[in-house]
Amino acid sequence: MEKVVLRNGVEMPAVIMGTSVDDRKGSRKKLIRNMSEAVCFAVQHGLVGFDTSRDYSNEDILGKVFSGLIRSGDIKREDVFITTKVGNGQQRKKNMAEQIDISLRSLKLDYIDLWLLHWPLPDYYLENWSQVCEIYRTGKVRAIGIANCRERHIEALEKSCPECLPHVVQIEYHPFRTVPAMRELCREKQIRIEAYSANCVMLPFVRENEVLGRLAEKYGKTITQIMMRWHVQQGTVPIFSSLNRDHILENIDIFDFEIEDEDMEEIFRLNCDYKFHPESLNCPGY
Amino acid sequence: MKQKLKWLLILILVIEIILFFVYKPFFLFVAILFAIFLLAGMLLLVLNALYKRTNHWKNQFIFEKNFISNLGYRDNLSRNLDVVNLGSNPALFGLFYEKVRGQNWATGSQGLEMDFEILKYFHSYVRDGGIVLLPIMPFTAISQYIKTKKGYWNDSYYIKFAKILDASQVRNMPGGINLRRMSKYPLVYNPKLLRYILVDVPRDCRLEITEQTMSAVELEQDAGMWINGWKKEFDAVSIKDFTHDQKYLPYRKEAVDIVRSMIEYCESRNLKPVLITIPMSRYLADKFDADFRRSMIDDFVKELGIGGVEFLDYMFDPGFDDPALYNGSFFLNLKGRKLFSSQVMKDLQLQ
Repeated sequence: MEKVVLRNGVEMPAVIMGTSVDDRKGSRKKLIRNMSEAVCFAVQHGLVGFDTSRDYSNEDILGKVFSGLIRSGDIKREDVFITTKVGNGQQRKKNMAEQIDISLRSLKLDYIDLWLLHWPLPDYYLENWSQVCEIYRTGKVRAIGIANCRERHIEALEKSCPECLPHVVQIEYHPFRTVPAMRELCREKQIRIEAYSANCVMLPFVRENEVLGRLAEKYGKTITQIMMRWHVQQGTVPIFSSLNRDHILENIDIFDFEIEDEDMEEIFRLNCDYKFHPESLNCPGY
Repeated sequence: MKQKLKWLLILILVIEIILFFVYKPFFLFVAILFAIFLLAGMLLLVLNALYKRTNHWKNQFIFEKNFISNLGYRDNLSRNLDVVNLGSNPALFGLFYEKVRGQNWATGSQGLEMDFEILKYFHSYVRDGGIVLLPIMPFTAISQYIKTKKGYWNDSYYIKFAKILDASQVRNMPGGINLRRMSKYPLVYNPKLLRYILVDVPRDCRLEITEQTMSAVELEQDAGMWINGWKKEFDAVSIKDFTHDQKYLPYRKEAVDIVRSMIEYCESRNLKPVLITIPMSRYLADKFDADFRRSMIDDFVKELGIGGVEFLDYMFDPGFDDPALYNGSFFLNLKGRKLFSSQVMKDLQLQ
């Protein structure tokens, strides 16, 4: 699996597997088994980046999975890249030092590879960010960032903590939402963009898109693979969320072809600022 | 949580059964008591569900379909609205979006603070550069005074917002998180509502009315009724009091602060705030003298110090004072709503 290098030199896998799978109604045992099998399968196929969050309520499940895999010798800790996030409920407590310890305990890890504030929660995120920066200096996390932010949040962070900018921002980013101003700002500040809903959750208008369909045919790949490759090729790190083996393979089988420049541009032109996740619904006052 | 409750109930039941055989008379009594409570609880839940099917309940939430919350957005894929409006009843009855991607975010009685909460929760549905209409009603300038009046902004006022806003916002409302429970179990909190299961009220179809349903005499009375209602609401004796009484000053300042904050909020998110007034029929417009119009609208807008923010003022526009466009003296009917909205969209260059 290819890697990208963050501003502080930390290497991060070029594709990340999300674990926010909606299976809360199923039994916990079944979920642990499915998650464990999917993570093992992913690791066996070279996918070593995993994304979770306190708000996904699965840190402890992943903790069991990872500790099991490490104990059995299937993976080494340093081979996997684990991201987690601190949610709004926890941000309101303004005790990031305690929150990182809770995550470390749940995930049964000594350190987190990437730790994010899940939202720029108004009235809280600036103070919490300065705490996150302190924790970064202790080495409990190798890189830090913020999810779901816009230019104004980065600018505010820069004002309040000029010496400690995010290494990564995780935002909804796909061909139908390319946030050019945000991209430019991140390029300027050397902040890596991590893209969730990287394939715009394959909504009907995405599946039926003429440009993506044509390019999929041209390169002999699926529409999802065209989009994942488009991300990787521009340096953004896409996240896909699935425990399905076929989908896992589909999402990582993207390193054997290259999209031509004109085709990359054509995909960029699909931008219509479509947000599948309206941010303010998760973060009032966003 | 539900799972735990289920197991707890089963455990209690098992213990009861065992103890019943060990010490029959006492536990027979306890078991009967338990069964009565259980049945009463179940009956209350059934009645609560029945009440929530009545028009009396549904009429309070006719606006709800316009608000897709965190639970529903995955099934409702409409995004990037060109224009939305906030505001109270006149805006609810005044704005209708067709041939443009717009949504009416007025819910009926809706003060400035709730305007702002709705904006904070739903604004991501508006496209980058989209327009947010901030309606200024005749009494917006002093509307915060209503907070001092017991019974106006009460639980039933806040419950409708509790149904559409985020829990973190509801917690900060008067009544707090209890409001959510009230909206789930209204009958438990107010058993008097039981009567509507037996005798319901008619469905609120005011938004569908296309014509004036009042005669000239009735319209005159209706306009007078509105004025008297406002006098009572704001503890005023005459129309002059609204502009001269010093008691409104702190509330006027509060209103200025909230509207200003909403404008700043929009601008910092690359949304375009536009102040707008909604017209009224000549029967009602005639009741407001020049002094009132200047103080409550013109001076209020000046106090906002809005700089480059657009202000569309139709409140006393003779082009929309024809009573045929209204139902009653204050609220536009569907025909009037379409005509007025079309003019607004043209003025905003959205059509």
